[in-house]
Amino acid sequence: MTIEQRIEKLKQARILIADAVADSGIPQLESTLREADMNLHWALWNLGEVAELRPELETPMGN
Amino acid sequence: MGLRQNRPWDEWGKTVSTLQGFLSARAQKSKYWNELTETLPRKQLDALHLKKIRRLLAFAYEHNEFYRKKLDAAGIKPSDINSLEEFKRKVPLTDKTDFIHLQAEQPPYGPTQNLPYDLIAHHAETSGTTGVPLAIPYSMYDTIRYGESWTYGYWALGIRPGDSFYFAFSWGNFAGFWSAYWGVRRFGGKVISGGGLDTKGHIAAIQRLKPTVLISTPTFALRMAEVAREMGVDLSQSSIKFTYHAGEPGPTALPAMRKQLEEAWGAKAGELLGIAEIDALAPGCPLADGVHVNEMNVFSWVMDPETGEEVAEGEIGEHIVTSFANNAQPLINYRTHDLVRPRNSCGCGRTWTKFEGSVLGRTDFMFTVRGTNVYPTAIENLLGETAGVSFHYELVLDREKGNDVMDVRFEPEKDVPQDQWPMLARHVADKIHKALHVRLEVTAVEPESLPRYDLKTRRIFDRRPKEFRRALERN
Repeated sequence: MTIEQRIEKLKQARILIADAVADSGIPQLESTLREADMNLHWALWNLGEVAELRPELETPMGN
Repeated sequence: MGLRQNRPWDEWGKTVSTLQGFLSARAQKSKYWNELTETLPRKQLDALHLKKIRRLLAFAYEHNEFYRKKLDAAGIKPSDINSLEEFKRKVPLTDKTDFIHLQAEQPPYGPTQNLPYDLIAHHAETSGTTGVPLAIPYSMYDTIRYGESWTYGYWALGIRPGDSFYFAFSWGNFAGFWSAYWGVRRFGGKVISGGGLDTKGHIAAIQRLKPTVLISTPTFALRMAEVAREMGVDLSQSSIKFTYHAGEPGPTALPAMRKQLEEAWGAKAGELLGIAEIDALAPGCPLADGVHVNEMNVFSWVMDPETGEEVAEGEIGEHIVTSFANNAQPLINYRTHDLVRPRNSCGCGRTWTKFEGSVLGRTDFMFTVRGTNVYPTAIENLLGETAGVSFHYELVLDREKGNDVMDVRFEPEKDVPQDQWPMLARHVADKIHKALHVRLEVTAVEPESLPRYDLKTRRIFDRRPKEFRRALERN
């Protein structure tokens, strides 16, 4: 798999996670998946993909 | 209840080491924690830095009053920065004093805080030796990023996720080894806390729990070895395979200290350059002669502190950092006051900028005797390699008749007879004169008379009038 393909899969994973947590209203789920999103953002950053600077507040899990 | 008393520690260690934190066999064989980024060609690294910096500047200008005012005062907008050269030349420098003043006006973090207070996950402070500690906010994500810098160093030294880390650290408000802990969590290793124990307690805990990595300041590791010897314990026979240090010049900056550490502990010694408010920003090189800037977390350049111009490769200058790791309080073109010698390539294969010998001194501690710049680490190295001189010493800077002067006070090793102390002091003074071409006052003092420290050892005392110091001493 190329780096570009990995990057694309990680971006898709972030979108899937945002979808999975949407409207759940479950604190445990929101908390764990927010952490999962943070780790995906970090993986992207370390593949040279400069995304948003504050994923805590910015999309796709930010709100 | 004892900790896993039904299973011998050695056996447990063996079981875990085969898993290596669930890494694949291919990953376990890697020389690098992240080969892709650690060996990225300079051109690509710089392109990445520029992209991050432009994003950071735009963000800071929009959301951060401090940086907006700074840029407005300099007459520039983030969109004016189209190259790293422009960034270095045009974007104003920042300093710790800026942040301390802002925090005093608007506690706890001042207007440079970048996240809502509720999202600050960890509060730390510098030790405040100059009177005012700097408050440091970290978000949850910052702790991940910060910890990651340690993992590069752990991996490069040969430490693996199956290792167990003993923290000879008091877990106070000081950022210090909290980030090493975040690193172990990130790495997948085992944490064994030594919090609340005294020196003898640490030694007993190491004997009982058999950790494989010691995390401490380098001088405290030597102190532990000294106390162990008095207890009749030989730590070179202990379970420790690696010692890893930060907080003060250690085995990379001071080869003589590395020798002492490795002999005392029978272990491989490593070091990382960290700055509490920035990041654990430069993990040690496996060649043990310097540190590599973690260029995923920070952008660094080296400036002549007198002219403000960038120095050439191999020349000594002040380290200036922009951090992408601490987003709760971003630091842009931040003066560290650390003097470093940058190298663009390294035999280890990493492309990340190397600082040969780690930090060579401080802009504020550099002193000039009859036109010769002298760096304290050069003197420390000479002391460390002199037989009969212990690692307990003080360098006292003062001003006499219009010149900088330095007194060197050291404790001889305990087996040196007292009648030989003056001769040993003369020998050290001659050695310094021969190597550095300066004549310093050197005195041998009674063993055990200088203070001992559990965390950062204070070795340099600057008694010069303020106007002769280069800059604020870092806390």
